[in-house]
Amino acid sequence: MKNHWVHKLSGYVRIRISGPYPELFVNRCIDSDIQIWDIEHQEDQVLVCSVLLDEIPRLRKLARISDCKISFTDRKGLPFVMKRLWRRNGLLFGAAGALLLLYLLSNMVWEVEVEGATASLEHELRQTAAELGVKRGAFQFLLPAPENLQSVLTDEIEDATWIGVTKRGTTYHFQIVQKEFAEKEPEADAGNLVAVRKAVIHDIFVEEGKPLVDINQVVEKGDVLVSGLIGREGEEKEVPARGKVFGEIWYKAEVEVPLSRTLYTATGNKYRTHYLHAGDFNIPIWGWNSPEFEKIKEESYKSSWSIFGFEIPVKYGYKDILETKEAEAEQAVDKAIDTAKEKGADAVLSKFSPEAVVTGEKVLHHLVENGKVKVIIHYRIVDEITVKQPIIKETKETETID
Amino acid sequence: MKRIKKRVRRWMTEQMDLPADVMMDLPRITMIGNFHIYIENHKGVIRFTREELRLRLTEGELLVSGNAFVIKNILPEEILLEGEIQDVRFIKK
Repeated sequence: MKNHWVHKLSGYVRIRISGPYPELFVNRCIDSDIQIWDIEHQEDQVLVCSVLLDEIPRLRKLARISDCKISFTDRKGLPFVMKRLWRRNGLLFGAAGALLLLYLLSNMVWEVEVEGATASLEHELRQTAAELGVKRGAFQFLLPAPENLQSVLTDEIEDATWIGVTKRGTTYHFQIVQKEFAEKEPEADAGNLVAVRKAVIHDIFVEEGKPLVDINQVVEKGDVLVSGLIGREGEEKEVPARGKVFGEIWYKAEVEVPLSRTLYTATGNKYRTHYLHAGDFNIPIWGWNSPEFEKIKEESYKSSWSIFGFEIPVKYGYKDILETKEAEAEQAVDKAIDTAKEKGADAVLSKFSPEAVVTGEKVLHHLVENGKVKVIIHYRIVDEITVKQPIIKETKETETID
Repeated sequence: MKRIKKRVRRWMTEQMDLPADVMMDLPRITMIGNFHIYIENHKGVIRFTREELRLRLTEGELLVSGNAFVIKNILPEEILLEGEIQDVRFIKK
């Protein structure tokens, strides 16, 4: 059998052959290689058959020769479908228009989102983007690629460190990382830096101002370390003195450390009881009569089994009862002094600023008394010793009076 | 002369085991159940109605009778008929 879909594509017609001898027409068609199929006998001297659309012109001649009349009863196939569709071309145009519209609308920019910007920067960005064409109603295919937009915008907007541009469907999404400006420190009042305590100057670091002390100089509490008056004598300018002055401070501490400690040690005697744990219930399964120890320590173990990631609700465990005895551990005096040093340093440092460090320590004296060691330790501590103080303008005032 | 030729052909067919339809220009008829009949080597349609199909052969005619006949396809030497076939008969001239 022939493939009929080929016929459907090129189009075919049903024709009605009427005449005294329509079989003759069929034979002639076959002889002249005209495809003819689905022949039916409709009534006497009338046959109906299908013929390809292209071959209709040749049929007329054959019909004349074979003394038949042909008429068309039905038109089938793509060409006729097209024709019929064309008759309703409004519908066709509508469908095409709808598709086109859908395509255009889906290629438009519908939304511009800005994330991570302040209102003013967002406004600036939106404006710059709009100049580049990224605004509601613009066609996406006329816009530069997001990568290009990104580089252009990053260049253009100075307040942003980085601008990320992503396109999500009909939305352009801008993500901004704003430049963070270091907050300006409020203009500090002019002033000196003075010592908070008696110390030996260990190190000086001046940012602004005039240092008045030297390393290894002893300063008393309240002494000016860094002056806020700079410039030539007579034309001094007042500035807020800034800087750090480290001073060495001596500190004496008394620490007490006990010499003995009580320890519990296991004797080696133990008794194990086995349990099954189901939820909150503990069922002992072995080891009922535990011996009575004077001092005990308990250790327990619980298993956790799981199958395919699920924990089994029933668990096995055991409890060990260990016999222990008290033991007094005597500490050597030397060791006790070492611990005293550490303890003392911690205690001393807590009295200074977090920058303080212990640079040296010396045990001045120790005394063993009532199982305790009393140690007196001398610490050398380096710490920041400055504090700000406004410049006292007494002298100036006297000058003006003069 | 014609008779001799025919005799030779028949002899060749018998002796050399060649298909008879090729050698002797006879129709080859294939039927599928009683609703499809496929006839090769026909020489033209003499009569076609809903109840019968009469085909010209090299010698004589072939008459197919039945009900609701439709010629599904027809080519110079082949014909495919569809319908309820009741009878296939050779008619000698």
